[in-house]
Amino acid sequence: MFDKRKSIEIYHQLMNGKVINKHKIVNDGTRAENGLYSEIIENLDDYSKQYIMAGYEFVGLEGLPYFYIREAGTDYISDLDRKIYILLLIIFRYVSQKYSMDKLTHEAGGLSAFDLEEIDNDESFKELAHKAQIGAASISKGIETNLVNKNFMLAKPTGELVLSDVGQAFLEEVKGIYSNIEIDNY
Amino acid sequence: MKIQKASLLIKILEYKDVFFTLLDYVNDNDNSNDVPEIIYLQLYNKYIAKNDDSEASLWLTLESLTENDIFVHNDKNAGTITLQAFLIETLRFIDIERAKELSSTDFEKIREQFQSVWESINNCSGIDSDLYHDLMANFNELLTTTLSKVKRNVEVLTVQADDIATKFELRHDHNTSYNANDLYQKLSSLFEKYVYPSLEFTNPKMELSGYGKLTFVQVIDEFIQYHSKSPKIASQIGYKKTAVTSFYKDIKKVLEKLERYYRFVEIDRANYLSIEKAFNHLGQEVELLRHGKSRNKYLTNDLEVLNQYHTFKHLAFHKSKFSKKLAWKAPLSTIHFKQWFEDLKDTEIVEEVDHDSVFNAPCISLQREKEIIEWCMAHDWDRNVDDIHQYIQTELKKAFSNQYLLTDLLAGLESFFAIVDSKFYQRHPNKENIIEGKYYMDYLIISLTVQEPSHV
Repeated sequence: MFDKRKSIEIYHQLMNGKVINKHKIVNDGTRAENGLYSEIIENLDDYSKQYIMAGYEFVGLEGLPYFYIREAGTDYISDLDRKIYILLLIIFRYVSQKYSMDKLTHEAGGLSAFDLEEIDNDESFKELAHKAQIGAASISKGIETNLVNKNFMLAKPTGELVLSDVGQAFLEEVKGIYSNIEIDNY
Repeated sequence: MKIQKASLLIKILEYKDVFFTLLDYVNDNDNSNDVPEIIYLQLYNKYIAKNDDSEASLWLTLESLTENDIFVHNDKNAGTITLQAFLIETLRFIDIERAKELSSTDFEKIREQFQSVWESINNCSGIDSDLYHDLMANFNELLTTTLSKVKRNVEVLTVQADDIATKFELRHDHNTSYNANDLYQKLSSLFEKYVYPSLEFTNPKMELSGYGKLTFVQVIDEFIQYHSKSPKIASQIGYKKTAVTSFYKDIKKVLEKLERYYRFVEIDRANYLSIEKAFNHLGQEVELLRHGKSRNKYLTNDLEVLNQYHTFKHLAFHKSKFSKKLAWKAPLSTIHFKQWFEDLKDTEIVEEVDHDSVFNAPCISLQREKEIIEWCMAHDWDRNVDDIHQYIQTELKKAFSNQYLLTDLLAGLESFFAIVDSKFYQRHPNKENIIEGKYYMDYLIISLTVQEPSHV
């Protein structure tokens, strides 16, 4: 039987364009199972039917560690997608240049305020954010609006940002695509 | 001013950090032992001249060190000083981290020296000749030097491996800089230039390709064989050989340690390169937009560089759209079928009939007409009726139930108008119609109002 309180929360999150991840960050800074994700899994038929009948595609039924909805028949990228892709690529580049990528995935790591300041001050990142029409006062503000608020990055209690399940899936996809192709420097 | 060498060396070692800086410059610049004069002068002014140590201020000047052969040459035109080789070696000996590994070139030089001595001994007249004794003295010195060099090299490689390990551990400290690509390059270089040549040199089973070329171990074996009739000399050479080759295991350990890190660093580097390529790919699109025009200057959603990703697509703020609640654009599924089936069950199927005017209908039978007239005569009619046609239709339907036809209404109306005086009718301009079965009837509404007799 579905949980009414969680069902309402799930509705608000999905309708606001957020992703529901399998894991969330809890008070001690570690990852734990996300109650909303478990709620969907336990009542998968009901939830998927609810959104499909309302005209949405319920993405995540294929066993992904995250769920989100999109309008049925809209398998193309939105403005929000574009902003998220580019902000994540900016973060990946910043981290790969200076640290191990574990910084983004391991609970002990995370992007600190210092890192965000460094990203904000990088001219090539600024240009990219401008061209992508991120639209925020700074890249770090864009990260908060588009990545943290949409659950692509999770904030630790100490403030550092780590990748959520969907964020990690995107990182793996980028690594997979570019592991075997050659791209010239620009 | 000539200074006693021992005292000068002690003073130099007191200020060894200054000379380590010179050594670092040498290490970073192809080991030519030449250092720009200005570097030493700056170090002298900063760390030596400002001290109260008057002896150091006097002894360690550029002129004094040149005069006392610590700097073997001071090229005024090029502005460089050349450091004494033994000073470099001493400094490297003091600080293992600044020591240099033996490269393949270094090992080749050593091997050539051994082979040259061996060929000279092999060609000399015998073990009683003066030349033999000179060559053997040379050989023994070379062997001792090689032993110390190989031992030192193992220490240096161990330190290098520890340095790699320390740098690798930084990947777990997410606030300290760690560049997988740099570390990978350093590891590769260490393997190729230093570790593998060391292994090859000390490997007792190594063989060289090339006519007449002998490995270090093969040369030593030739020496042992040559002295087979002088077992004491042969065994002494054998001990030294074992001492050198025993470092093979130590280098192997260093190799294994480095290989462990290599695997992880290789993965990190592959990730690093993938991200670099992804970013450069995006950068190429940005470059095309640097045209300075006012149009088409932003990245658009249709770019291939963005559309290749499938982790998520078309995220949006759905609440703002007021989109219709049921959209059937999604791929067909059983849900669509079930919904259609449910809709079908709830839908009343009405057969479409072309209605004809009741006045075109066949006349009713006399018997039927008689029944209706008699019923009308006997019926207790209401005195006030808003729509006589509707009223009579309703009453007849009640009386004749499912046998009722619209043609019956015509007979009913005829009887009713015959019974009731026409002065009680009011005619209205509103047109209405009645549909019953296959027929319809258009009519203008007529109402009935009969005044009750007033009681006096």
